[in-house]
Amino acid sequence: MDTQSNQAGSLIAVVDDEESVCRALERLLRSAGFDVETFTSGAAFLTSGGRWRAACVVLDLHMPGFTGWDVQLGLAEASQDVPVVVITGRDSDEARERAIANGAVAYLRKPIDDKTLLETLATAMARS
Amino acid sequence: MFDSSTPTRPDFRRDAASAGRTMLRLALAASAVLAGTLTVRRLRRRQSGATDAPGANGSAVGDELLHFSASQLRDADDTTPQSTQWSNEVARLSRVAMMGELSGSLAHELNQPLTSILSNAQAAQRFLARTQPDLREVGDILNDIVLQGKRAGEVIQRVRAIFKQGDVQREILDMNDLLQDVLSLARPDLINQDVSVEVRRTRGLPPVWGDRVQLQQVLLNLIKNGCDAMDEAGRRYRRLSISIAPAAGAAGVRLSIKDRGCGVAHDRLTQVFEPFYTTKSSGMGLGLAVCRTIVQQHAGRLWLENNADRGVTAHLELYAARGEEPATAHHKAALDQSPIVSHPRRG
Repeated sequence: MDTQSNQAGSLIAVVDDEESVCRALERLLRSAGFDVETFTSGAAFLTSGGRWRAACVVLDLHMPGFTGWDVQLGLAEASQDVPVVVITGRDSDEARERAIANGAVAYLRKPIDDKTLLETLATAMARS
Repeated sequence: MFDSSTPTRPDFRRDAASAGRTMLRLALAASAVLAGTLTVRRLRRRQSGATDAPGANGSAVGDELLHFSASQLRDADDTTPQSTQWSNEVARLSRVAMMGELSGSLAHELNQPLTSILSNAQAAQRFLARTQPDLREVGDILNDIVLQGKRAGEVIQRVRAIFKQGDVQREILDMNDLLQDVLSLARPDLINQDVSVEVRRTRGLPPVWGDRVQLQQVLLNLIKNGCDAMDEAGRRYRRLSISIAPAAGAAGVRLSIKDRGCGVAHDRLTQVFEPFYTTKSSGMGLGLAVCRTIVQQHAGRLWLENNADRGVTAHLELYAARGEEPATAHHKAALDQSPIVSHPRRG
């Protein structure tokens, strides 16, 4: 495992409307020593208890109905200061600027390399 | 824009050592109707000094010749190979232009399976590095990788089919399946434009004759137009309602796509099908013109209707496949009489 020892076992919430991506990221993060909960909609994540327990959120941007930006705003409205790492398969400067303006600690483009993701999560959790 | 009625030679002879290369092809309109194409090819002179296209119109520069040719589409019921070939080519060019606009969606469609494949594979590497790897889990991961690899392959195949040159491939099609394929392709754009889609299907619909790629092009164009029409609309209005049902009267299938945009002025409901008519800041305004040509060639009907509340419904009707394909000429009159139906727009 290559997570920092004090981060091993931390809960990561993965929010992506694409089930296959949720499943793959769950496996990857679990193989690196994290606990993982997955959500295939932003609304399901915000109404679950997972958002309160998560040490970090991996959040897709382009989801139908409730987008990743909506999730960011929902977390802000609840004054929940959990670090959010945004991932997207549809990159644009506008999307990046909006995600960062909404408080994302990182913006990663799909497909995501494991080292990049794990280092980003380690940094995000260390800062929070 | 200019008219040309010069017939073209679709198969001019070429020396094997100097194959012509198409540099440019433009759609031509005459009297507000798609009339033909202008093609510019670069040819090389044969070693003997003769050109490759006797009697061709061209301009010689050194060993190369620029060859200009124009072809004219005739009536919609003209099914001569030449006319059909060129109208198919115009449809293909329009598809290429449309796919350029959808390149972001295509990238997204490929990024999803690639993300799944990469993350799965890297997870499998980590699991296998453990002292006691869970091989059952690794097996599940490999199954997922195979599935997602096939999915990425299907996306590539769809793109290749859209760019493919060649003859129209008529086959028996299920409109429900066709719509599903198109909605999958359009999904990233629908999400990006924050448009929800509701679909009402009817079971047991008759199949239709058609070229899968061309009919997908028509549906994609209508869906895209519906989304664009709602660009300025508030979030609660951004909904496409799609229904597939038996066609009223004649034996066939009607697919209707209803948007909630600002509608179209009554006197423009047929003008929107004219080549180069557009209200958008980008695009050539050929989408609906090409759609109409495709539907005409399928002996179908395509028309717009303003909704009573807001927005426009695009209706596409195709005849049921029963034995042989329906004769295009037989149904040309029906298409010409496509109704203009409009409800008064709210001001």
